[in-house]
Amino acid sequence: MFTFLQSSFGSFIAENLGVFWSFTGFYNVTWGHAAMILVGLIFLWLGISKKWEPMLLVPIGFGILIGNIPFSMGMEVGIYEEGSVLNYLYFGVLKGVYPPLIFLGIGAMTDFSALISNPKLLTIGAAVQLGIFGAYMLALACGFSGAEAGAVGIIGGADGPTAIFLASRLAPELLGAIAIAAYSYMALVPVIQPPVMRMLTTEKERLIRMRPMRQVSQTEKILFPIIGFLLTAFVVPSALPLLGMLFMGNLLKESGVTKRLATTASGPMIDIVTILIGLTVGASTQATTFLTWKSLTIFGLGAVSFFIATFGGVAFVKFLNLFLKEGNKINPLIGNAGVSAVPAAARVSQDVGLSYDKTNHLLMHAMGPNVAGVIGSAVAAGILLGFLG
Amino acid sequence: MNADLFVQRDPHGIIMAIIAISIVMMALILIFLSIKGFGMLMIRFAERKAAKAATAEAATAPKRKPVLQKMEEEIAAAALALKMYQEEQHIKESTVITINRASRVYSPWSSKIHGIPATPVKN
Repeated sequence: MFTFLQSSFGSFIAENLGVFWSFTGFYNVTWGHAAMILVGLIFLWLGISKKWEPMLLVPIGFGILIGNIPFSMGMEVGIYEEGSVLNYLYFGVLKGVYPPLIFLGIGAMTDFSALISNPKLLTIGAAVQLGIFGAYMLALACGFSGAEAGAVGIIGGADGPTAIFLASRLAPELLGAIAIAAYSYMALVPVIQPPVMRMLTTEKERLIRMRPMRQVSQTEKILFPIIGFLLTAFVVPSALPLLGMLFMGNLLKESGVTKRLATTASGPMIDIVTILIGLTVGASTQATTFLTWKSLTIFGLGAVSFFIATFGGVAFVKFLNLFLKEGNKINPLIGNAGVSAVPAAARVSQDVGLSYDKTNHLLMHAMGPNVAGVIGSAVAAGILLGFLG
Repeated sequence: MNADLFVQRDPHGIIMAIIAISIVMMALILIFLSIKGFGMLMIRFAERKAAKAATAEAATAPKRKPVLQKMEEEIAAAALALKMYQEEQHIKESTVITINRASRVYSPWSSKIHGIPATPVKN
């Protein structure tokens, strides 16, 4: 064996094996890679075992594993390396292509009936945006620049695609951390929101029964996306890609004449884009660029922004109730649903409501502020882009 | 950069928060007002339509004796209750498979007639 290694052929093989070893993940691994792989595994565990938003956490979790396999630079395999396949896929995130496509699908799946039958619920969707601007103020206090603070603040809208859209424009270098924080906290909505909801409401308020919704005509459903789009896009044209796609998707659904397009937008298309966005966002958390104090601060600010948003929604409903007649009052437990995590936040309202009264179903009422939150966060993103872009 | 200028004048972000929330609120209130107005129009339209239909029915329907009319109402209520009961209590689905016929509008795009070459004719 020793003689073989000493021979010219043997030393040639040994040299090549040495080069191969230097290319392997075992040679290049750092504690950062190991930590991120552990985070990816936790995401996968939460998604698969706990079933917390598996559609998001499974692709993101596996994306984190893909992004944190150590390699030597120049192999054109990393997400940040020009010419690599992952880099091409990441282009859709970096240039904000995927978020509007996701919004098209969301529009094609969303039923705005709850909102149309009780339009005052729209205002809850505006109040919850307090989370975005609360986080913006805190980010400024933590030393982030104006544009970075705007991008961090949008996490409070609880809307992954909007967060990616805005971060790609305002602070592309923080995109990975912002997207991961937004999607993680969206998955944690059932854990974060209930304590705040319970803390802010009284026993009597939690038992409020809301008036049943009226039947909404097809004409109203068709006109809503057209009117909604024209009004919001004229106020904030900077949110045009998001608002345009959201309302167009809804028109495809409600018009009744483009069923095939609506089915594609709300089915195969949104699924494909969700896989791509989840995978690339996960892979963008490469330890070498991701593990910084800024990323950790973003995670902290993201959690706080969700608390502020929930507080804003529930407190606003209590405030509205001061002016509403008996019988028209709104159950404050639907205030949390103003964040745009659809339908997770509405489901939280339903579950918390049922835990106090097994016959008081709040789901459909909560869908009103929930879809208003989608519109509200897109408008808020447009405002931040207009002021800070 | 605009963002830096904005932060210089509003270092704590309070002005931005107030302005932005006001704009979001304004945009959503605009939608609220238009839906509310349109919704009220639709409700009024539906009520008028229902009232018109009721008047037309009353004018065409033959006059009945009140006792008979009452009986009819009772029968209708009982029938409705039975129907609701039957629909809610069913355990097995009917195993009848229905096929929706898909009617296709004629399109010359892939019509065979255009794909067949004309038969050569001897002169």
